[in-house]
Amino acid sequence: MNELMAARSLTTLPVVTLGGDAVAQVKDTVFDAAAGRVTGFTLSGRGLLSGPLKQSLPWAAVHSLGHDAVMIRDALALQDTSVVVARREAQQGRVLHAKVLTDEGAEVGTVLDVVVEGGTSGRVVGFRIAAGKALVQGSRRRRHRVYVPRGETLAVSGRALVIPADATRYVADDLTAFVARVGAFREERKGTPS
Amino acid sequence: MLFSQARGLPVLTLTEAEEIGVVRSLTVDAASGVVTHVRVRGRHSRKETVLPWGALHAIGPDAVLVRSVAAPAEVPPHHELQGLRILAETGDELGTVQDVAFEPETGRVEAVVGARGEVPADRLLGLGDYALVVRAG
Repeated sequence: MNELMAARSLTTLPVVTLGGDAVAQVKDTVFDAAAGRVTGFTLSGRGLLSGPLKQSLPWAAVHSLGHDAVMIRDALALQDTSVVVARREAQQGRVLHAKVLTDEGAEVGTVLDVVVEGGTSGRVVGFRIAAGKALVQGSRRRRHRVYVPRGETLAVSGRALVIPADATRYVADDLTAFVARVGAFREERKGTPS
Repeated sequence: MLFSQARGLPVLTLTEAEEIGVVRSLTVDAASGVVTHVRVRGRHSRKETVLPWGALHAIGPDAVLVRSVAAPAEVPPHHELQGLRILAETGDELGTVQDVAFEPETGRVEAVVGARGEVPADRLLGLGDYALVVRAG
């Protein structure tokens, strides 16, 4: 599997053409309505005093999402923001700070960040959540933050999102450990008939 | 030959043996993998002369000989390779350029020497303000 990245950490990542020029930097990551995929990025100019750009980057034009840069073929990949993020506010507001419930009805926490897969897929593989007591029993730490896999049957509605109950058995404390958990979670779900 | 060895070599005209300056830098076209221009700085004046590769007669171990010092009609933007970050097309950094190996006879770039090993010239994709972009190896 490709490297996993927290969506918030993508902000300020340079957008670089295959010709080696940095044309912008990432302002925000935009997801589809089901929070299953990255649909694009809003951009700001590079440099201290440059503000948001009128143009955005649709995911289709991304060559690769890497640890150090978002690669695009050339500057023609950028499009008017209205094309990329028609319903951005609704989508982003929906996922961040949303309640996370299991499909058995237990509340496990609230969404702090979205974890996406690097490379060319743009897939959302999980969430970083502020875990509630139900999820991390026995933890003495007051603010426990963990990663949970997304699962394919996720539903997003209003201010909450529902993940499969068994996803909560694959939580991890950091992104490195999360890579292995997501892999294991997928393997197991492949084995169960749905 | 390495860029670091070429830098600082005196540049002389072939017919008059007149020194016009020293090699300051070499301009590379990443897509075709060749050195296209040589930038020469005057020894006394700070004036910079740009010579197309075709104007060179020879690059030797001790001097560069040129046939003509006429400036080319069009000067491409120069991107200094040394110290520039190397970016794989996947968007991952591979360190910075330490040096560049090239054939002094033809100007063909052989390899880019990075902090984490050499990148052969056929993996070069693009060279810009921000980075040298290379195909994932």
